[in-house]
Amino acid sequence: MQSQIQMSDYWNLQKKYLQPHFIKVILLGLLLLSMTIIQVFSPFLIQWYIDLATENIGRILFSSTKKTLNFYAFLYIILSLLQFTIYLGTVYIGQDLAWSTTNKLRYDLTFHTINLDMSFHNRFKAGEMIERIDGDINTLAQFFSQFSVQLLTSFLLIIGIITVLFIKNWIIGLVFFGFTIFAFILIYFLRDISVQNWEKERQSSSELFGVIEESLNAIEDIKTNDAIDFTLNKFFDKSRYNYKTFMNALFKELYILFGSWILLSLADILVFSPSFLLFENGKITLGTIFFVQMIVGILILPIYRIIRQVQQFQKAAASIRRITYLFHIKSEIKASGTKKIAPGAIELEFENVNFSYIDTEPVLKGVSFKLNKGKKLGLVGHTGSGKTTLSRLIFRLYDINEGNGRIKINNIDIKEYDIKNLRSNIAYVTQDIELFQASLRNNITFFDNRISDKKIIHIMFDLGLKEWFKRLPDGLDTIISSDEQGLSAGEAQLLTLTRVFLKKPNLVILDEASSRLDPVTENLVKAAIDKLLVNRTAIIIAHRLETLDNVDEILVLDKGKVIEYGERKKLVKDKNSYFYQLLKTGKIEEVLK
Amino acid sequence: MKEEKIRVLKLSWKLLKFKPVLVFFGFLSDILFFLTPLMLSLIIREIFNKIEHVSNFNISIWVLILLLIPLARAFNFLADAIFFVTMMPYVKQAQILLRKNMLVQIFSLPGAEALTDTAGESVSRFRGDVEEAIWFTYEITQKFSIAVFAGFSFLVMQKINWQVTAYLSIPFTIMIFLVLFSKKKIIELRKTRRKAAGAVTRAIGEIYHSIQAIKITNSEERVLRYFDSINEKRRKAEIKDELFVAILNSIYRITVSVGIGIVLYIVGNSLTNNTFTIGDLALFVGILNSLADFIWDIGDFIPRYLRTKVSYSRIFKLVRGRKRESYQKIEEKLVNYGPVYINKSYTSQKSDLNENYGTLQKLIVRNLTYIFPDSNKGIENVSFEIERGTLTVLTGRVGSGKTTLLRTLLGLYDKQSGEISWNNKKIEDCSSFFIPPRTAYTPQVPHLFSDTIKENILLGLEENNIEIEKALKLAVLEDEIKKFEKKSETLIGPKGVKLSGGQKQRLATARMFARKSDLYIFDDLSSALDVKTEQELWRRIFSYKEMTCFAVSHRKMMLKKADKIILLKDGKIEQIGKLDELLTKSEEMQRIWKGEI
Repeated sequence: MQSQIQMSDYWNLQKKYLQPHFIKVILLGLLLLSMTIIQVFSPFLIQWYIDLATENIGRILFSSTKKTLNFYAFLYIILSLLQFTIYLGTVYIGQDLAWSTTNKLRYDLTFHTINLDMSFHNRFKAGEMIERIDGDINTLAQFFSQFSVQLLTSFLLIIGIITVLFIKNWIIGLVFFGFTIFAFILIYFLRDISVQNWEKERQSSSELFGVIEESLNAIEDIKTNDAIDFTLNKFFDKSRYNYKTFMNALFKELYILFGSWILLSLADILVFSPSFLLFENGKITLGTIFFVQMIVGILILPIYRIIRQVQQFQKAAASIRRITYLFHIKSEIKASGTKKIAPGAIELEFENVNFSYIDTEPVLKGVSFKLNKGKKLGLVGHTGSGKTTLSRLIFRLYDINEGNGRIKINNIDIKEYDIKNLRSNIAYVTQDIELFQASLRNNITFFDNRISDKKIIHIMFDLGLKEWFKRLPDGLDTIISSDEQGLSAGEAQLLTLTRVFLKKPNLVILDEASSRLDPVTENLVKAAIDKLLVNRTAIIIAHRLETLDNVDEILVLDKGKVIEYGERKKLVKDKNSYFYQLLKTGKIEEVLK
Repeated sequence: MKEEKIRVLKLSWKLLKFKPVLVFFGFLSDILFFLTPLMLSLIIREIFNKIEHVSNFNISIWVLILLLIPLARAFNFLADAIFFVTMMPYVKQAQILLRKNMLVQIFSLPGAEALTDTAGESVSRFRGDVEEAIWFTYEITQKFSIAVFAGFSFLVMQKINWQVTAYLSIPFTIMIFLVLFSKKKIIELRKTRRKAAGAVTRAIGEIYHSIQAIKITNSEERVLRYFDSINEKRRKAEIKDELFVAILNSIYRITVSVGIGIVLYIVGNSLTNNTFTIGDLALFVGILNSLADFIWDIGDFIPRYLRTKVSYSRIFKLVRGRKRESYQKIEEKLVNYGPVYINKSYTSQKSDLNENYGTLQKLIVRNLTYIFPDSNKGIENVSFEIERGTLTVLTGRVGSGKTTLLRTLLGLYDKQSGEISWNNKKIEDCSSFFIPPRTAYTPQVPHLFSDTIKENILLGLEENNIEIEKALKLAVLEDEIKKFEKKSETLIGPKGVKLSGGQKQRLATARMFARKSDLYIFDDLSSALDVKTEQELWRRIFSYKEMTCFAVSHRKMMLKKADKIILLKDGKIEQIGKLDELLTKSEEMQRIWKGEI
């Protein structure tokens, strides 16, 4: 799949996204074409003007001749106005195309990937997805809408200019035909002569700022270890290296400048030498020389542009390859179930469940338990024991492989339920809250605008978030984000609870806050949870012993194995049980270490 | 608080004078660079005049075509080359100078409160803002060169035909104003565009961060709609910005065309009576083309100036920390000249420690107070003593001020009152006093460099004076290091081995032991070490009888072993004494002992 990008891949992608904008593409092509024509035509006016004026040297001008001259001048201005109006049109349509198509591509790629299963998301972290959806697709933006058109019009312009020159005089035409080929070769060879050096410079510069960042982070260590000189030494070392790489890259640039010196001088020489000789022999007019000089000035630009597009293509190819790779990944969760969960508290059963993530030790080993309708299970185990994995499996964030056990709800394998229905029947309360830089409303409803403000506020007040809410400057419209609004652990949990109360789950999975809440918030959270649990089946991942006072059953998980499972009432009395030990020592983490 | 004034031009001038020779020749090369188009236009004018047989110069047209044109273009190349060896080195060296001065200034602040922002954000000031500030100094010289070019061009043109020149000045003046006023708008649009682009990036991050919550709540489609709306906003911002720049671009290109049109309109008669030649026309066309480019450049000046001002204010805010020194003082420090070591290694100019204080017999702390400015927490009137060869344990519940006490003692916070003396001699500046070989310290969360393990221990010390192996052993790190292929030459950090929190802390402890010091200060080792490792570490330390230690801890073993326990509560000393005393006297101590807190 990582093979070289095929031209067909590129065309397919381009076709798919440009097709809906067919008319705009055609229009863009037409505008660019007319711009090219004007560009080639304008210098003719000056030639005619000069020819007419020089024909009459030494004579008094007829007013009709004067009028014609003025007409040429006037037309020249009008044409240039027209040319730049068209240019604005091309910019507008080009940009519009670039962003409409790539926005669609962004949408499609996001749509595709967020519907992939969690094993994908474990492999591709948020940072990498930003690189793909933003970075790679951005590379495509200009390229996508402009590559073909730009390439086409640039070639057209070059061909137009050389043709016109041939028509003027075949010798001049031939000379500039040769010149164009020479220019292509020269620019092509010089095109990335300094790229590697600049890459090195970027590297050295990021090293320099890496050292600065480390130093700023380590001020306390540096000062108390008397290491300021050491740090300055490091700073100067990196600065010196950066300076050297920068100067090296700069010197490489001189080659490019030297190349354009040759090219531009050659162009001037080629404009005047043959023209002068041809003029002396009466083959061309003075106006023609002027014309040639003007039009050759236009010739070099499209050559540079074509080479830049080719370079862009190489960059874009890598991006296209990475994007198509993502599109080819398929979800491993088969959402083929259609059953709906019956209303009311549910019965949950784990049947000898084994599970491992890719390439890792088994996380769950033969886990079995059966939780009856409306019962509460206290799940105990220390970090890495498999508690979180267990709850993720119920949501089908991962699927158990064939033959590795089953999870059943109301005695039916969860794979047989419609996945959306399954998920909407389960609530997950955690202390980890991921926030969007969006309004509080959207953060609670997850952009579901069918939910009324009244309802949200009602629930929030009910949960005791009134004081916090009152402090927000714009109420539900307040933009909150993880970094700014400084949510405490308790407030975060209350917010997730608000989310949960908006739906009517039949099963609640509660990951208790491990950090200590202040007493007031603690009581609020407790009251809310008590309310949530009424008449619902629940799994409570407990970090504190008090929580376990109110559950019906206890399950102790250690390294993926159930080492104890039973009714709480019985375990309390059994002196050999882990749970008994727990209650005695009072510390979950220590007993299970 | 009122914003203090930032004198951008004064700062820039001072920076330019840092390397006057380089800057001067860079400036000359710029003038040469900007004058070449004028020379070229003059040559082409002569060529046309020769063709028309109206030239007054007695040289062959072939000399003009084959020699003078390439020569004039070579001047352009030469100007670039000179620029590369003069102005560019100045720019880079001035950047180093500014950065070094910023670093030195930050290091002079109390260590634990030096940064007012995250390190990442602070680095952006070392990078972008410094670049902006230094480039601006060059911009100033460049504008002068452009003015020289514009002046010469004007002289040449009005000498040929003052009437045409006068007419031409109208559209160009209009353009100058247009460019000047529109540049602000460009910056504004660019800002909106960047913001919109940033919003997209952020949204992608947020979506994939909360992927689990999205799936669980069945919100995939709604989140996508939200994503789409942000994308749409960005599309609009991008198009708006691009289009505006394109409009400006067109305006100045059109100005050139209109200029040429005007010339054609006026000179019809003059062309036929040879008072205005085709060469003159070519000259005007050539100059108009380059003039437009340069006016575009000049229009940049005001927005550049404003941006530079913002950059300076960000730099100033960074380097003055919480001390709020006046801008004037900081200005001086920032542009303080000094070597930038681009060809040789840095050599320290540090003087030796003032040794008058002698080896530690007794450290006395009296009424030490530091209250955080934005809360009323901190430590208040803390007094205690530490004697040679003893273990003093500092304990107290979370938030009682233990770390604050250590940091204030070490000068990492600027103490608000109190007196500290070493062998009965008063210490003036804690920050420069409490360093090896007097004290060595391991913070609770040590920070290491992406360098070898050895470098991290040495931090610039001479290798042969240091017993690295011994230090590693004392810090219970020797076994783990042995497992690394390159032993203590192993690279750590993002490009090398990633150390665990406990390994980092023990490496920092080894770093401390490598510096033979009178007093070793530990901030809570137990936060990153498991019980067994920590016990082993202390066992090894205690095997050295003569070591003086001052440690934050609430481990029972340490409390038992302590010669003296300092018990802090709410930033004040609750009790000082041996464990059994405190257990009988203090309820707080009992709670800590039972592990209730």
